Amino acid sequence: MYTLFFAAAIACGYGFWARWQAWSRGRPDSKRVDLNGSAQRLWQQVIVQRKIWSVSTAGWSHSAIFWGFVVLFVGTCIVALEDYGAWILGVEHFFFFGTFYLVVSCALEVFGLAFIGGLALAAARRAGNSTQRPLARPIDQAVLWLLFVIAMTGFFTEGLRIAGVEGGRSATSFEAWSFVGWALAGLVERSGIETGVIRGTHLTVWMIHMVLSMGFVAALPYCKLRHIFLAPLQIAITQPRRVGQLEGVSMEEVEETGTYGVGKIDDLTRRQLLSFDACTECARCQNVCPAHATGKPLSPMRVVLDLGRLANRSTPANGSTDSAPGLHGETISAEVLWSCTSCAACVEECPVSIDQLGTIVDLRRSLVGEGEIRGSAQAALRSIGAAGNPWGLPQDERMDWTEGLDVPTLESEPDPDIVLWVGCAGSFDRRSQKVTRALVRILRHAGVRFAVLGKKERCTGDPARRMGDEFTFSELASANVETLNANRVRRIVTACPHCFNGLKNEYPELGGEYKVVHHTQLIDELTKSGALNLKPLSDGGVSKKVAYHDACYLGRQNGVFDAPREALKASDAEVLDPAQSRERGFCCGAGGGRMWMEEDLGTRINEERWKQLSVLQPDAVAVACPFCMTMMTDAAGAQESEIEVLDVAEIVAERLA
Amino acid sequence: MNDVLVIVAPAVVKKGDFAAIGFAQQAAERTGGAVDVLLLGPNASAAAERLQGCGARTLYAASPVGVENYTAEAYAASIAVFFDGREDRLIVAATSSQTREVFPRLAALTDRPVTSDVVAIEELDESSVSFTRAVFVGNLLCTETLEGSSALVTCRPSEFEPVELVPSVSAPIETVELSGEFAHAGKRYVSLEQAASERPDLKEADIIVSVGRGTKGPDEGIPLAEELADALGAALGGTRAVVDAGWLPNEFQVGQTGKIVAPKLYIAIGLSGAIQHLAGMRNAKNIVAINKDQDAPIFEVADLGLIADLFQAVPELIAAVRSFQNAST
Amino acid sequence: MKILVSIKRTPQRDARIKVDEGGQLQLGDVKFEVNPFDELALEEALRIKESRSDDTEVVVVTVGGEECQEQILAALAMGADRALRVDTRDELDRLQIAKVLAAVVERESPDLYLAGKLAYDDESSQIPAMVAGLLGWPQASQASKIELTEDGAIANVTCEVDDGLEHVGVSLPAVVTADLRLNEPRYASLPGIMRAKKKPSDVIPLSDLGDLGARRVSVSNYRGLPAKEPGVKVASVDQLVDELQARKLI
Repeated sequence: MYTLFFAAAIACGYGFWARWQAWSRGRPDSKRVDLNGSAQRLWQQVIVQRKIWSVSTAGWSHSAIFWGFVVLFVGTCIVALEDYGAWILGVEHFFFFGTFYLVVSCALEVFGLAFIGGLALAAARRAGNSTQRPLARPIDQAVLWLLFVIAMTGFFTEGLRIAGVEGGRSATSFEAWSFVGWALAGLVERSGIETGVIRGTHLTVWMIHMVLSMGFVAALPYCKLRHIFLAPLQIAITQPRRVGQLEGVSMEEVEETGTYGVGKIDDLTRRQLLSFDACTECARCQNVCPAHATGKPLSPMRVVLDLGRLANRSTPANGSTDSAPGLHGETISAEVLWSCTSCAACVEECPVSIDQLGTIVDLRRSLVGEGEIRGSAQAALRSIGAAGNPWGLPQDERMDWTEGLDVPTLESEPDPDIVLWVGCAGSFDRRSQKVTRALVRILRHAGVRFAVLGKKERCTGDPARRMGDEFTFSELASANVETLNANRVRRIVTACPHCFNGLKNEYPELGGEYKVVHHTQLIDELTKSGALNLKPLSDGGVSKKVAYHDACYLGRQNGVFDAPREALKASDAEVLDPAQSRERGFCCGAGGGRMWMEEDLGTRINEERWKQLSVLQPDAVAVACPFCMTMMTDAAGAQESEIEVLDVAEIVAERLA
Repeated sequence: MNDVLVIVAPAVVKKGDFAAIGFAQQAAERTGGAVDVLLLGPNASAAAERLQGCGARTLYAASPVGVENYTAEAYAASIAVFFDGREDRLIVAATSSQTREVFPRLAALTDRPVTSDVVAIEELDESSVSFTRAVFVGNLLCTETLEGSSALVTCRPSEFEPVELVPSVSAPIETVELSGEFAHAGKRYVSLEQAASERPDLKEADIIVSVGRGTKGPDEGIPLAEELADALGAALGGTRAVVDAGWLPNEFQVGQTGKIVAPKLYIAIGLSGAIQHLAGMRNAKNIVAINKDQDAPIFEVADLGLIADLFQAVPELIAAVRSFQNAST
Repeated sequence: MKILVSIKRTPQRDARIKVDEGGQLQLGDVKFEVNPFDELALEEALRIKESRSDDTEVVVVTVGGEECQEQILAALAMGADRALRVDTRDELDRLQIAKVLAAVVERESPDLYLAGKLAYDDESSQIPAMVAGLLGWPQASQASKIELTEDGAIANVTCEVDDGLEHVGVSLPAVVTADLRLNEPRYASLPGIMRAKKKPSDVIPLSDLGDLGARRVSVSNYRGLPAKEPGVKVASVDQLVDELQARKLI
């Protein structure tokens, strides 16, 4: 048994050592682990299992298994410590006796049952036909059975031990605290088997229990069970980040090393490689991925698993690195990477804090660095760089939307309360121009002193960054920061969540610190402060039923869920939420540069989203993003729907007093 | 010294060649010289008959020995031999895929100044000639001046009045024997694959008929648009929505993610004008929009807008175009 | 094998070019790029290089001043191995430029000379054919497909001609021009530009290249198109047809 124990320990140790080797291939990053944050995350995500509870059956099942496992593991350790302690000290009992013994024994029974119950629920979920279930491959079923048999043999070992004691249960009535074992012992006793046979069977069952347990230990690093150790580790050391936040790239480093983005497995950071090994294959990221839902080749989980497998396939520990397939093309195809809308639903969902989106953008960066971005996506990047807007329209036309409105620029209004950042869509797209004009009417109505940058405004660089072109992003962002700082801009409002996210979250790193609000937030603020008066309905009823579509970059990535809904309610609209809303909002399909790419694989994301919204039978679908506006309007047209698509600002502007 | 030589090569007389002769006549009026025509190719003599009455002084027909098919190398070499000794003020041709490569090669062989695809003659005297050309994707015009007593030029056929044949005024057809090694040893003609579609290519077409979702699909509005395109000799295009719906194949897509076009006339039918689409056709010289939604953004860029149901308006337009064409031929 | 690609610095394809009252181009705010058709030619050269087992070298050449260095860098960033710039600030006509390029070809003796079918600015579509004529090389224009035989002796080219597709074979050395459908060029991004800075890039003084003859073609008096009439709404198909005829559009 000791041989077996050492063999298992060696197998387990070697497995994790090999993993360690695989992680060490990655680049070190200089980021410290923030202990306070780690403790909080460990509490939330490991102890309380908060993320897992977002699917309640999973919450029950995994929490039962998790807590069952932890308590049984601690119990086993106590027993081992007791036995070896007593043996070394030469005493009958070391510390495991009396009330402590009874309480622990009882707890082990309770958690053992919970463990088995959790396993049963897990097996049922895998057998069920729900879309929200983890992968069910034979190996995963086998793991559940292994744990189940270990738990059952544990109980039987205990029962047989009690029954095998001289005098049986009557001699050891205190063992009744181990109520499952006690009951099993009772069954054995009633069968009238001889004590000698019972003892022999006890030994056999114990051996089976031990062998299986050792097998489990040995198997740990080689299958998804490794998450038992790696998930808490990953959660502890991961960098705290906003959902959807991207790591910047140091241009100096690129100049020095000549590598940009992740072109081969060693270009990933150690932390990233470790995080892939923590994947539990729960498939939640895949279930919420709009690209996956519409038949694109992307599954965020597959990306994570494929990268993890590649890192481990070619470690020095298991031989040659030459035979391993390449990363781009062979392991992950370009089509997979370009399918991503950067909506960050996967990141939001992941129970072990893996950054699938950041990884995908890292891989995109390498493609862009090697020039492997073609056609319309490349054209958009060029236009962003050269013309300052993704459509390549002349900067001279940036103010055309103001025709007849006499909108002040910073020249005529040098010290406004707030700067209106119009954005490229709001400036050039004829549909979005109407939204900008509605917003101007609202601002005027509320007496807000505002100004626009006019022809000095350029694309914020968001699409370039999401497409993997940091160079173009930083050129544009720096130019914009320079303009904003030169004009001492302090507060900015914008109707574009992509501009909003960039200005608010990404510009501070470049020296641009502003108070940035989305137009729905400003409208909410203005109605609540009384500055904006809206016409009340004469009958006090509902102006229209509105299904609100959460924009990913406003909602999930920046937590702005209530302001647009409040603004709609202030206009006497009844707000309807589809099942996929707020954190679970389903992307329109235009993020991550997808706005400028063809969608020729699978079905269309915008039409899928339209189905989710139109089933609520609203009078209008409300959006809060120009890209969502385009995608939803296209979807409404494609499905010949009579439902209007309106921006929140347009709905509010209709009701200006 | 004052004569203008028109090159028709290969000797398959096309619409553009009549415009080139018209252009040559404009030039000859200024120089006071005569217009000669050189037809080059295996069937040059027969082709020359088709130009009888074009007002030329002489129709030269040359079928260079050993040149079965058109190649830029052989044609440039034989033309160079033909006008060796002649003193034409201008050597002209209609812009075509052949003259685009033959004329510059000829300029190099004979060390003459050359320009291409001109849209007008500005000035012309013994030592200098200037033309108007369209540059920067047709967004600007400029004047190009060629110094010297002899120059090569190709003209854009759509900009010049084609010559009208007056069969009673006949010109002698003179067969020219050109001898020499014209075929280039390094060039082999293999085959010509005629374009499958009767309609012109989107990028090349002068007129494009483009359809949006308002056409309601392949059983309803799209056949009407096709009929109109055929009546006008136009290319057919469509929006992303139409292509996505599978109503037209991918290569018909006009717009930012499709083809970017700049025809002389763009007829948008049942098409609202989303920004992605406008980005692909905003350089069209003339835009006609037919749409029943008067708020459609396409009207903001249209030169001529007709607010009407396309299912009524397009058949009327087809009928009008046909009657106009019948009247003019 | 050695492939020479000539590239031209042209205003960015989206740029709206303005003209001053004296008929001069106003290029102050305009960004420049490698002429998009030349980019197609370069992409094709790079693809040929990638598909061949011999050590194929791709050399780019341009004629112009210091300002062209930006486009040289972009071409090297895409993957060209080496660059040449014939340094001149003189205004040359197209035949003179063709003579310069032919002289470069004689120095470099490439197996294949690739260029775009036309330049986005002057749209003249002349120089590659002139170079072929000056060198006495065969040429294939407006290629939508180029296939080299394995021994690198012949290029089988599909040319986009007015009537359809013409298939020709040219023995190398030859001049081939690229049309739109030939390929989709790669993107010259940051790391490529950084690598490009380390690649060899030579400057040849114009005077080294012999007699170019006199300049005989000059360009002047740039002007916009006649102002577009504001759009009008017509009431009927008849009125529409009348308008179209009045504008000589049908």
